[in-house]
Amino acid sequence: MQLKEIFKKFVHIARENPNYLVALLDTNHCVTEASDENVCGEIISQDMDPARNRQFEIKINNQLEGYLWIHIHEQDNVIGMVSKLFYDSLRTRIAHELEQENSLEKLSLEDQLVNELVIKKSADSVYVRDLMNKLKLDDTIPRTAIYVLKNDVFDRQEVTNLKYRISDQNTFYSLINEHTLKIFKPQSKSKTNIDMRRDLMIFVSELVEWGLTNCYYAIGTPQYQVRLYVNSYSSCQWVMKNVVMVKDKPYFFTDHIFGYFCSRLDAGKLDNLFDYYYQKVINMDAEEMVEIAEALFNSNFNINVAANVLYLHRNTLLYKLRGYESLFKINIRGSMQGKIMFFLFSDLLKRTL
Amino acid sequence: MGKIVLARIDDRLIHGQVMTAWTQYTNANEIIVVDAKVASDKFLTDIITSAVPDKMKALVLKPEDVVTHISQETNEKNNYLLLAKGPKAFVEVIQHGIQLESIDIGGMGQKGDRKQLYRNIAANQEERTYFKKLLEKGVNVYIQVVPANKKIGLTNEMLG
Repeated sequence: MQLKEIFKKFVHIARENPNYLVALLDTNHCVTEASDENVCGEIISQDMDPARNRQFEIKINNQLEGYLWIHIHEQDNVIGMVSKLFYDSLRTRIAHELEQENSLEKLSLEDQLVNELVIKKSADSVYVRDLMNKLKLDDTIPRTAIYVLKNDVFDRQEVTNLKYRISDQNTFYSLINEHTLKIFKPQSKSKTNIDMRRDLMIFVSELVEWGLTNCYYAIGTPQYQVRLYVNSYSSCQWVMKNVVMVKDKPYFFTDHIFGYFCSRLDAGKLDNLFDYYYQKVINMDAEEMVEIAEALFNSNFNINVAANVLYLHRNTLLYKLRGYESLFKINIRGSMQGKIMFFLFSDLLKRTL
Repeated sequence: MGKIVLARIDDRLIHGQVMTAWTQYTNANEIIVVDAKVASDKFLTDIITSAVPDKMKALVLKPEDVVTHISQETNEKNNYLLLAKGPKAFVEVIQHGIQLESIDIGGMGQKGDRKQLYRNIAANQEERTYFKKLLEKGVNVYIQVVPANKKIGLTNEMLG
């Protein structure tokens, strides 16, 4: 920490009030910085007239770094109050700078941890354990990755300040690049999936309220084992790439598992199996069918909700579904197999459109 | 015009706890000390605001000047942290047109004629009257010294 740099602001203030002299003394009481440069190098006794002189110890991390000396040329009755204010302000600045240094140091370790866990191809488990120990992170609790993407650049100072907003000591995060923040949030072992989900929704809304706005939030899978955090991260990436997202709202990978499994199917191998059906859709609006299938899937096959999303009347949607049922000879509305068949076929069609 | 992210009552105004915990916790980027007496003394104002690093803005205003200052700000991303030594300043701020939804009591030590309100928070009769006025106006007044503490809502029963 540059104590002299901090002190310059105080020197400037004292120079505007000619009755006051403020100086920074080293541990031998020698003046190193002062509002009156003529006193630099002088040794200032601790036993000077208290009516015109005050000295305060300056400690950083409990170590004496020097003294603050306040002197008034003409005696007044507010030296006690003014010199205490000077001292308090200087101490506050020092405390703030120390805290910033500590945060940056901690964030640097968290950067290393996130890099080791999710960026590198294979994590060094000993190094990961060592970093987690240094950061006092419990490695026995489950965590969920939260991927925060901002089209604008993240303010690095804001990201540092986030340390104070996230009061949970077991959360760690890293600014992977200027657009991407990766957070690993702990979850209570005893909580149900619904409670965990609610906690994450509250967490994201608090981040937005705090100021992390205009961001996309993807929530990965919860993971017990540290070595599997990378999978939570990957599931976030999948959401970012495959889900249509609105800013400042959380999107859970677990809400898109069916879509995820479909995306893992090898379209090349399945393509020919459905040739019979492909022939049937040649003369119809295939894009509309894909949209309808997605809307039904996203609404858990709730006809009313899907119709709203599609800006269709409920009866129009039912009419279209009956048409698909008749065309493909499957029961989309009444059978689970029909629903899966319809969605899988639409998904394959989407990839070949 | 930005938003007020915290209105806090603290005897010590800007001090370590405010700078190291509250400004970051609330994402404040401007501290406004509401104090008529200090605002009229440039030397004291300079000393108090020197506690804040250059990258943050800090100023001392009279209660009646807060509304003008905030309404003239064009940056919507400004997050204000308001600090006052007691409830009177905030009652005046509200009277001059600032809507305060909540006020945090962070530091009101036992001194003079103050009597205990809750743990190490104390208030004298005049301050209690101003707190009652704030509660009457529907302001959520609570005690929270540091962000990690639970908020304790101030009630008329506590004020006696």
